[in-house]
Amino acid sequence: MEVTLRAQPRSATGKGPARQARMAGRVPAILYGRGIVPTPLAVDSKLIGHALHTEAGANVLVNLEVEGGRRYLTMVREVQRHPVRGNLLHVDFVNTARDVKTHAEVPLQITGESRGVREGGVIEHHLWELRVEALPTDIPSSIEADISSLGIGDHLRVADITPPQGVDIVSEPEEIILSVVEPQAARGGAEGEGGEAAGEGEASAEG
Amino acid sequence: MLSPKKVKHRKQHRGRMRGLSKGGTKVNFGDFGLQAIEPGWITSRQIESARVAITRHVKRGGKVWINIFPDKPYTKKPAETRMGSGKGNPEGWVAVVKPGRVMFELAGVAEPVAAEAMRLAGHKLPIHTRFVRREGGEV
Repeated sequence: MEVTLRAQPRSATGKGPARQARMAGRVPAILYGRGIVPTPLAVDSKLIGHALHTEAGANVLVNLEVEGGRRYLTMVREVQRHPVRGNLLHVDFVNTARDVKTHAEVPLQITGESRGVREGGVIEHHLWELRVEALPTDIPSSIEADISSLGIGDHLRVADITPPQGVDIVSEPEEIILSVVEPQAARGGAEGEGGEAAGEGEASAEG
Repeated sequence: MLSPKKVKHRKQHRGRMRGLSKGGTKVNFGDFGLQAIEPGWITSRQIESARVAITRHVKRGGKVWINIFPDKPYTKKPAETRMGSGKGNPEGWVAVVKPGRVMFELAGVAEPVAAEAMRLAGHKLPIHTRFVRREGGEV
């Protein structure tokens, strides 16, 4: 998935000019990577918001048209958001090329209902994204993992995932993606009420 | 209830709660979370009360994470005491929470159950909160 974005070079840097850009509806950004000097930019906040909400998710290819006639094929490396409002504060674009493999984080799509969950178990999800290496145009929007055969006490590991053609998984093969475990109540006893009496003596501030 | 095992100093200054949370602003462990949208002191009793509200509503299944820890002692002077004569006695422990902080996380339950559990937990806290979800493939 590719989108085209226009960007303006940003001559003034620092929090003052960055805040002014945000007030004017632009998001401060930076472009770096593959043989170019890091260039501060500003992009339209609505357009970059739309670009980040395509089916490709965070791994969207962005054709960046910088004022002055230069074009770059980029990927979004990092996005900073306001912790409460959620609006975009800053975006990192990394220059890439169609014929050079690149690393990306691809979300995992879990499919099927696990046998362990039907028996009363709970899924503990540890890893939500896989790190992959592929050509920018081959990076999938998500990688599917079927968990219907997992029982209580079983794990799904990175090595169990079959990547699409042209995609190599870089994450550690032994890393656990998810486990099916017994529910918390069965493991820890009556956890809902247990804490109140137990903590009485501990709360003094004596050092 | 949560409290430090050992502290270097029994009493602390009250401090200020300016600005936004520096970290812990995303749902990292579970699928859903309860996010603070204003600053405040959350006492260990309030944390425990919110945790109990979540676990009781979820009943069985589900896993809860508490991402805040009450590591700041607060003091109080006894009732009907004249002012002066130094700082009061340590009374309890609080966690300093700033806007944006995801305080509780929950996994392994359907979204309506999680939303209701978090609503009940939010009523146990002295600040305004909101229900948040894990961010998907987007950033």
